[in-house]
Amino acid sequence: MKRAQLVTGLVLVSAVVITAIVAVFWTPFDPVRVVAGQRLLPPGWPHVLGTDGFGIDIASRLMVGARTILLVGIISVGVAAVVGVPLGMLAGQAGGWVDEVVMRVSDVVYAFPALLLAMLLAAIYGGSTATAMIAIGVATIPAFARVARAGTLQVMASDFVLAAKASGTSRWGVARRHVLPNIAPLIGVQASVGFAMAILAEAALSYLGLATPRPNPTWGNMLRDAQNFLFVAPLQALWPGLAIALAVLGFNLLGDGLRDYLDPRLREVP
Amino acid sequence: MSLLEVRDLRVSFGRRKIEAVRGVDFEIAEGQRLGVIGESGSGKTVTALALMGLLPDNATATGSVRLRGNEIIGAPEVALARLRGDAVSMVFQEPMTALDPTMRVGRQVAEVLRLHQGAESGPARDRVVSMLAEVGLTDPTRIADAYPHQLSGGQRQRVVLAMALINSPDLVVCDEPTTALDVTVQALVLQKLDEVLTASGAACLFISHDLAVVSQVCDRVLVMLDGEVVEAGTVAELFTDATHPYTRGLVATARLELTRPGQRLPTVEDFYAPEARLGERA
Amino acid sequence: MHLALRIARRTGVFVVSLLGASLLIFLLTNALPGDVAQVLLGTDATPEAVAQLRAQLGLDRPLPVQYLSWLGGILVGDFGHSHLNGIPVLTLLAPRIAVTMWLVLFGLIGSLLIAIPAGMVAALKRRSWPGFTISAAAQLGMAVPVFWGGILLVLIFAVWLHWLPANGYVPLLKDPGQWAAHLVLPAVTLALVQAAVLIRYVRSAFIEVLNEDYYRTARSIGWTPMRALLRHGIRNAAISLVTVLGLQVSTVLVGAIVVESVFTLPGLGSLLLTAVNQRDLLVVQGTVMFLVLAVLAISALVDLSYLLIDPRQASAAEQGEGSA
Repeated sequence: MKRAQLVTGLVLVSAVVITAIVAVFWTPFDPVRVVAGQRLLPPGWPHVLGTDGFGIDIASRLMVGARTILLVGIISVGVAAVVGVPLGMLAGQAGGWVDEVVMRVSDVVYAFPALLLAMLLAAIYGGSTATAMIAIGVATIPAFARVARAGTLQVMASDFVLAAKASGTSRWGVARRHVLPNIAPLIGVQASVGFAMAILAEAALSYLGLATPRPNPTWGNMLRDAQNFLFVAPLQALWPGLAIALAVLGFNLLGDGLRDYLDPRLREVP
Repeated sequence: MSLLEVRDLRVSFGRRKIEAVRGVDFEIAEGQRLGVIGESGSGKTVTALALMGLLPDNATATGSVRLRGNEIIGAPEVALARLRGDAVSMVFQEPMTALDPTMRVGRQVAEVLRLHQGAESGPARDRVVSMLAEVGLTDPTRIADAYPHQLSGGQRQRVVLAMALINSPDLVVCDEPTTALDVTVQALVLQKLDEVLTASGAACLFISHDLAVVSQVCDRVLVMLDGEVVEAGTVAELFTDATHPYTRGLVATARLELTRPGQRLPTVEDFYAPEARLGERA
Repeated sequence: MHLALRIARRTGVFVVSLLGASLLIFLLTNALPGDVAQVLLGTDATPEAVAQLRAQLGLDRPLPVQYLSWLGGILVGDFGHSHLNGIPVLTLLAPRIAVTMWLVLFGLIGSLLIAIPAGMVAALKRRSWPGFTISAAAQLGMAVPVFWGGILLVLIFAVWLHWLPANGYVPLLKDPGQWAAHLVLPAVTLALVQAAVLIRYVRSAFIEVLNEDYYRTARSIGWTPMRALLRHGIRNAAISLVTVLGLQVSTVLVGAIVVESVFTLPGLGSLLLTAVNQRDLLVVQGTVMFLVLAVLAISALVDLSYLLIDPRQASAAEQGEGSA
């Protein structure tokens, strides 16, 4: 059961990654060039999933969308991890007022959804892939800080850290040699779940027109376009949504599967 | 016909079917009190839960448990629920957690009456208050209105006792009811248990790891070891001519007054060492 | 801990969070590269015009002064003015609050009505197919973006079945029937997606109850598993669920903003989107501040409500001391 989850997650995630890589070099059709005579074709050949309201091949746009979503995911989760993990470790290792301050700040950011952050940024700079990445990344920092802090507290309470400290290892040494390697699996799980959240957030932002602008395709803005043709070409609203759902499902399953795999205590008795 | 008949009861856990109870037979007559004694892991609690039909989902029970002729093993949940609290009730080991922390204890005791007799809350409450008095709680009206966290362990255990006895069951299963209590409170709770059982004429299955405690309440005793009954008899028989070395060890530890001052106190291991047990099992 | 102390502490956290959030919003709009006056006037404005607007808005003052005067305004209910038409932000918000409020309220209630029974069954039957099915459905539901969920519901109930309107809004006082008809799909969308997230928490809260001794006691007096859980589980599970709900408030609000856009409801979300597209930075800033204030206040209230649910908290207050 648990293994099936992990495998399904891996398969879905690999599918997204492979699609995105292929899309860098090749798509069946031009994903942005408007073709006037071919608007709203139904699925068939050579347009496997049909064409959209501008006559552009939907499959090609979906492929490029995978590229965008992966890029946004990697950058925003990367930013969040690079900032959040050291902060969480600092809070967990230092304790006292440092801990209090870091966690309070992180609570404030946590109460601040990525969407509102993105709206503020978009109002200043105009919506773009970059503002979306920054907004999602910043909003994801608290999640990493919390996980890193909880993990650090656990490691710091263990005997081997006590032994290391007794033998004169510096704080930095303890953090690098003992804490980081031990919380790495937790961070991995969080990264996978965070990636799923980032995909959902990016999709919502580009659906609202606050992220990657047209004509560049994203799964979110494809859905916005498809909504205009809901009465004539309802199938169009299926593909991008399905792509988002499967990608998110993949990263969630991967995260859950990893968590169970790494932490046998969480496994339920059969 | 006996009130309770247990025949070749076997309980196993998990997919690998690890047996915790390995073919247990006994019966309890109307009004009789049977003690079950054994160390933790000997299968006595699992036996008790099997009688109640309250085994966890991953347990499989085979054999036969008949209460007033009704088969418990494999009976549908609804039928079991009708028996529980009516024909048979249970007192658990841990009084601190056995009561719902969000509900006043009077209501929790009254639930038994409302469930099985359809009692209205007014008359039910009067019965509850008098039952709480019967188990020796002073100021029962105040206690009925208290939440569990406002009561001491001994008070809570007597509330649980009241819950188990208020609907005059035929059989009360007590799973180490005094183990979690202080020694002085323990004696009081045992005394009250004895009194209410005598008053109601209910039969009792009393589980403990302590022969001294069992001998205060019960007439007959079963000794369980590794999921099997290794010895059975009256309390007096057990004290005078126990055959199994494990039982002899239990008797010695229960009769510390026989130990001379300055002499080391006996332990069960003096009579029945774990290594010997390993050899026996293999 | 004393009840009053607890409330005081939670209020303290609320105030600190509010200050933090306001500082964050202020710094994002005023301290990042990118000048407010320039944004408002557009890139082709003359330097003189920009300078004049800066002076007019007080942007030439030092940042701390600007922050304090902005914060002071908010404390007396002045969330700023639209640059385009000079209308105060609160006046812009007022007619739209009801729409978003209904949506959030019905979405939240709906999600609880779905998630609590589903989570209970998932916990009770966690080793057999109903449990697996519910958990799998929740896992799938969590992956569905809220706007796609909305589009699919429109596709089914508006485009194919013609049962409900696809978009738009009618005020309650104008036509209650139409009001309800227009709110059903948006509220259901929000409720379903939110429920998928909640089911997990509800399930694990009830699994905790199933492992409690008092649940076994309830079974031993003759409750069937489902009735034992209903009678003794809900309140106990609620104690741990309240914290989760407090955290969910902001998720629901974000969901509502997106759902408004799917169904073109004239709520706070659509106001925000319009303001963003018009680059009316002051309206965006004021509205975001208002929403964050609402989120923080509601989560504080939700958080405190567990004092009412858990009798151990309430009586600790009566006695003026902690108890185990």
